[in-house]
Amino acid sequence: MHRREEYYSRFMLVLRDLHKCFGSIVAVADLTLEVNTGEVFGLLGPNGAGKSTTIAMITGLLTPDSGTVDVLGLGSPTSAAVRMHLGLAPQEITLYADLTARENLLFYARLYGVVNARARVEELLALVELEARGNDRLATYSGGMKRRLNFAAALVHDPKLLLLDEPTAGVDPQSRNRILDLVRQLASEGKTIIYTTHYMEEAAKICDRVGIVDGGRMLDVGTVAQLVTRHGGQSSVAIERAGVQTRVLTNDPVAEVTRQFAIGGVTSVRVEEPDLEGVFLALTGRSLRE
Amino acid sequence: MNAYQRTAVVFRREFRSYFQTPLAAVFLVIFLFLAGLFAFNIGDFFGRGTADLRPFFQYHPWLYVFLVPAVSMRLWAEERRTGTIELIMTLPFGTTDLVIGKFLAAWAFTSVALALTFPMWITVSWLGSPDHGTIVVGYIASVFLAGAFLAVGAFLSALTKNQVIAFVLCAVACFLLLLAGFPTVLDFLRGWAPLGVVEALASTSAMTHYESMMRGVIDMRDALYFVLVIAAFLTLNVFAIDWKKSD
Repeated sequence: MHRREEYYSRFMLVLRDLHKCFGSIVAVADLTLEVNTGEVFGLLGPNGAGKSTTIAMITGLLTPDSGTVDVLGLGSPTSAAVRMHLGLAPQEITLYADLTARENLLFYARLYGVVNARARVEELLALVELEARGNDRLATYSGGMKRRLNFAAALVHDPKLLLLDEPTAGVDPQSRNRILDLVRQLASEGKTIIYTTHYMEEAAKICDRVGIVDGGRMLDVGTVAQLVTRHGGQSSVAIERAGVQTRVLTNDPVAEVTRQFAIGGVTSVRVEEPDLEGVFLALTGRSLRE
Repeated sequence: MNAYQRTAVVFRREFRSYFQTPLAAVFLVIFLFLAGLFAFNIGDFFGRGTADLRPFFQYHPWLYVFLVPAVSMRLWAEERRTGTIELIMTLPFGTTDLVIGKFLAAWAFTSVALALTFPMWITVSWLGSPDHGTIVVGYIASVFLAGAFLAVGAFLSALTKNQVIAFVLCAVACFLLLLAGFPTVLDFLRGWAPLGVVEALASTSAMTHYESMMRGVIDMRDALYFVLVIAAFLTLNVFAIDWKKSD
């Protein structure tokens, strides 16, 4: 196998020095990223961090000022060959309110030239648990149902790379859980997924690797464990004795808890492991939700 | 899937969408009412004592100045407003198929409105012996004119997400396209502008070519004018969509 083929069999998406400005505002600054084939990659950052701009450049909706986007080694997403492999569920609902769920999916399936479009639509409606409401117009759907259908529309042509831009923003817990289950299911089927979110719990739960983005810059990339090890700081052990609480920072919480019990008089103990919130705080100096 | 099939998919979706809102009913009722009003009252259909549809066709340009923008304003502005354009722009083919599909649907819809005026033809045939060839060419001219205005409107609709702005821009553009060949304007220009300029301006006017076809003869130059206007504005439409795809 040639080196180039070998490289692109490993990486589904390669971004090199992506840069995008809107006037004087730098939306994305020299972003370089390699996304492995078959992984769920989380882009974690607050609103305005540059996540959606990055997604727009990956899909070809925006042209980078400089830098390159390469999908599957086929080149830029402006080519039809590349776009056949991209599935996008944008942050906004991008379906027709005057059409039913079935009609919406069928419209896109036909535009993509999907063979047995009707069967594919039924399959997707079942996947997002909307078969029973398939003949209802989108205008009658709740926010969560719309999001699930938006998700289904991104899958209509069975893309290899799925881009989910804040897919759980503003949805009810039932739809949120369904969407997270779907992401896991699709990942287990071998799809590569880029998942943007500002919910760190979601990123920690479903992403193989996470990239922390802020101010248009990729601050660090790694598994959650790697990021926590690198930037999360120490674990915190909260000990209560006779109504008085003390907190100890340690790299070995088990040893610390053992030591505290050996001293005696402990009425309660709580261990707080470092998490992505701590990582974000360490990298940016502020909380993710600020 | 080839370009024709994709265009057909877009056409079907767009054409159906007119009938899923009150727009179709409102447009058809107003068009038929005004077409009748202009022909019978202002055009003095019965008083002229001539069995033809000239009073009917001669007011179509003015009707279209206001009614065509109502159809074209939503073509792209609505896609932008609702955000559906974002997904459409990631489809694995160019925007030409989408532009043509949407335009043809709007053109077919206005043609349906025009087709519903056939009772006028039946009426005039019952009252006398009209020149059916002239009437056929009148209908063809009217379809061409609506197509040209729709192409202008589709292009302008691609520039904004506000349908009201798209409507106003289209109405003004279509009005100017008519006015350029209006006798009053041309007479005013003849007083001081070189003849070549006046003739060039007149030749760019939709009114000049529409009036020419209303005589009952299809001059290839007139047909070519409308085809070129449609092609030019649809091309601009494609560029506008690509240019503003991420807005």
